[in-house]
Amino acid sequence: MSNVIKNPRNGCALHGALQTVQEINGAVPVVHSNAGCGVVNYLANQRFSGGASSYSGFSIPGTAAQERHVIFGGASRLREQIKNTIKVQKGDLYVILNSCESAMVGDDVDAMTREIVEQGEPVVDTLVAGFNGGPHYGYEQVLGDIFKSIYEVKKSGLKRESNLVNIFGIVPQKDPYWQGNLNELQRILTGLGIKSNVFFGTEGGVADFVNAKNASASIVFSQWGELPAKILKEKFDIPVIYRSSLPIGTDKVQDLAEAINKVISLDESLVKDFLEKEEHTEKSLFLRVRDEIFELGLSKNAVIIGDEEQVIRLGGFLKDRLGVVISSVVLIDSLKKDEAHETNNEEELRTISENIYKGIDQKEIDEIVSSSNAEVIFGSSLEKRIAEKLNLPLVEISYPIADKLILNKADAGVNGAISLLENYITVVKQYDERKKELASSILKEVKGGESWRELSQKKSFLRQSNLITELPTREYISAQR
Amino acid sequence: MSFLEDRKALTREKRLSALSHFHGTLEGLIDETSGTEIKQRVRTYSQIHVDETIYAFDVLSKIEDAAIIVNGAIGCGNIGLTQIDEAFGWYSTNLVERDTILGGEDKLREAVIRAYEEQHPKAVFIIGTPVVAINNDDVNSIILELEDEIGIPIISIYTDGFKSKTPVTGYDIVTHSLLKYLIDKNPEETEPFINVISFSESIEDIAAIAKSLKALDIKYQVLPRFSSIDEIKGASKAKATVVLNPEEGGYLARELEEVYDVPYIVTEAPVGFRGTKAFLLKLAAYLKVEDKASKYVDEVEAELTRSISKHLLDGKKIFIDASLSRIPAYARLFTNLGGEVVGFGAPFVDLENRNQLSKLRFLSKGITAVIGNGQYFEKANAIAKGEVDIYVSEFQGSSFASDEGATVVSTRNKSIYGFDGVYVLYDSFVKAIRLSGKLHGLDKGNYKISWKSKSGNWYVKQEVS
Repeated sequence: MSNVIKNPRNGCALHGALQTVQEINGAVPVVHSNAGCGVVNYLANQRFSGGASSYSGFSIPGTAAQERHVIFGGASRLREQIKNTIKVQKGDLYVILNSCESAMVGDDVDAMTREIVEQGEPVVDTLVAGFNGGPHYGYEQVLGDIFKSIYEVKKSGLKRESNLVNIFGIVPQKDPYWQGNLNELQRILTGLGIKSNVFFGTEGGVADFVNAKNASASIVFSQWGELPAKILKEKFDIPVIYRSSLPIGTDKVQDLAEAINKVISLDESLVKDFLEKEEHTEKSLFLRVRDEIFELGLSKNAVIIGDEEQVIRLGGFLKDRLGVVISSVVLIDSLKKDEAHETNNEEELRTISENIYKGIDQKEIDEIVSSSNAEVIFGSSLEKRIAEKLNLPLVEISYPIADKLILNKADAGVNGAISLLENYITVVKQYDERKKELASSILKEVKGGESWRELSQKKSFLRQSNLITELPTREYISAQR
Repeated sequence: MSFLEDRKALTREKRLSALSHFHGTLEGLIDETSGTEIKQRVRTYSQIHVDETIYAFDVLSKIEDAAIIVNGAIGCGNIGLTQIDEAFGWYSTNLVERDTILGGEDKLREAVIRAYEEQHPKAVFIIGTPVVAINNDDVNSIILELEDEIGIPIISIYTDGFKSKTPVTGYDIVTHSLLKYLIDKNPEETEPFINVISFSESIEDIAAIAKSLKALDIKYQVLPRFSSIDEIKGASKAKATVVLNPEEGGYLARELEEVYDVPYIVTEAPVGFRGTKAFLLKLAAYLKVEDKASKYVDEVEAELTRSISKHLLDGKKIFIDASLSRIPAYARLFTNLGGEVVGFGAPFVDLENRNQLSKLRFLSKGITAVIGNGQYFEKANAIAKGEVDIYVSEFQGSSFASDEGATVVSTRNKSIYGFDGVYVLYDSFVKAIRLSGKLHGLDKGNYKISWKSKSGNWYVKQEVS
């Protein structure tokens, strides 16, 4: 893969850390960088899917570092900013975020944080700089750093709760369906008799972080959730349940229940009743579109562009439940060489597709799609152009999804399985409709104002009518190739 | 005096004494900015805001046949996502920690070659970012090396994100580069069209102005936004130049006049009835089509008078947050509709756009003036204290005002230029008033009560040099 990147889609580690903190109710991010670093992330995200949290965009406190701070150091500016942030902005936890600029200058961010913590204020920091990695890395590092320090600034007793779990690995905003997925996951866990700290969004907040040490297990749903779970294990001996992806469909929910049951014993009859009810709902809704599944030929050849977790989850579902053949996948959150993680999902990925690529360069992704013999693309809005060029339907599942609001819709769990099906069928239907319209407009063009009887007497009509049948047929064959 | 001899554009602070930190009254601001230079201030508490890199990218991304490279860490390149609905591609040099130590020149070379080979542009722009500026990467040697090889202009945009507090400096930096490296220095002869300078207007705003220019039969080209490299090159052939927002495009217009003898027709921003009228009549006078213009303006005025109520805003207290160039036009319009302007916010004041302040003298001199990019905490303070009913904003994230009890009129995604813009603004008020009180209470607000009871200028201090 090239060093230079065409159409970079993800942002940097600072962006990941910032959007992670933004989605924690009660947390206030404080960005130590030049004025625009955090704004770039805001402006980019504003085009996409999920709305904005209370502390987002121009409401975010930041040092707006100037040339003098680059030359003489910006630590004293940061000290001033932290002190005044606490005076102006409401918050239960203030999280100081570092940047390329302060890392290159060598500002002692940690010392400034310690100084204010000694005054009894709830402040933590992370030293990850933008150039250290992508946003998923930023998510992982900021969570790790919060858990390293929060119990010094938010003191409370330790009381293990036998049915409480921590949820890690879903990166806010980088999963366009993160809010809906967290809510769906919490609904499922409640159904299984388990309480959960989800940390982010409508049901999460700073209190979840304080309470995380009381959990009986941490469930990690992607490699990016490993670090916070590992820190909680080291500090409080909380066992970790590793999953390669969020569950989708009742069978995967059952797999999750079995994995949890190995660590926390679940009420068998409660689980059984819940799974039966979920299965009933899922089957009933599938039944309603059985005709479409056959008639639209959903078992197409597909290519998926998304995070590893999304590829495993959605790819597995499409393959196992709808007979889709995944000719290629592109992982857009792939690890750098030096980013060691416990889980290696290579083998599971191989069961989904033989061709696994990693990277975010648009040209390379377009080439992979072009050579993949796909009939449908599961990707982001950045794949619109290649979809149009190849005349393929595009189901948008990964970041960025432009000009489409996704507030509380899930594409995981049982409800997520249904909504994925809805999306897929809608896109294919619209695509088929466009093909029909094209054929119909060609027919009108050829026929003009004349009647069939008049036309049928003209020699030229035979040639033109070939055109009518030929074009759609050619298109069809090209789509099937 | 032309600034073109300089290698790069001066910051707005150095060239025009731009001030981006002030919180006080209109009278205080007029006093503060009336000398030969304006004293700089700082904020000891601030919120993040746009910088010149973002502004430069925004305008360059709208040039149809140029390629753009964001030379920096991958996050800086993320700005391109704001443009993805158009057939638009951009590149990031993706600098990582190693490049901050050893330099990123090799990646820049690779990026220029890729951009050239894949997009076949007529020019390549390289946008600078903090990492490159701190590292002092030698961008110019790459340009010298590659320009001969690929045969198109490769232009460095000397943005860095931290040398100016005034984001509009980004437009100045782009202007400087266009003048120095693109615009035809020896135009053969003047051609019968005018340059319409636009840096930040939407395509809908341009269309509204185009409608009026067409009515007067005036030939024009828009630049640098929505233009081509050839059109930019031809700017020196124009008969004259007008600027849609003088505080953004005045620099380009003045330099075109100074260096290439293209007259700059100084006008107001074409916003509101009077602003648009003044814009068109000034232009018409120069082009000697006054009669036609007067007739057109009279017809529009008659129609406007029939269509809108002058009592729409009776009893409403209004705070305007906008580019200073447009605030007098907004203030006149809102006052004519029965409203009371109790405060305004603008990103900056400098030695040129300060003349807008004198156009606000019809307002009470004690109204609140907040100068700053964003800085919503100070605006929340002013809105809460002034018991503002309606917050009118040109900027993103304006809904914070509803936490302070105001309803919001946002001009984003709306075409507010030209005569049509008067209807659009009027309609925006009608719709906003319908929403009054309906979105309050969704959030408890981000700001502590103790802050809102403090003086709004608490964190604005004199800069110690």
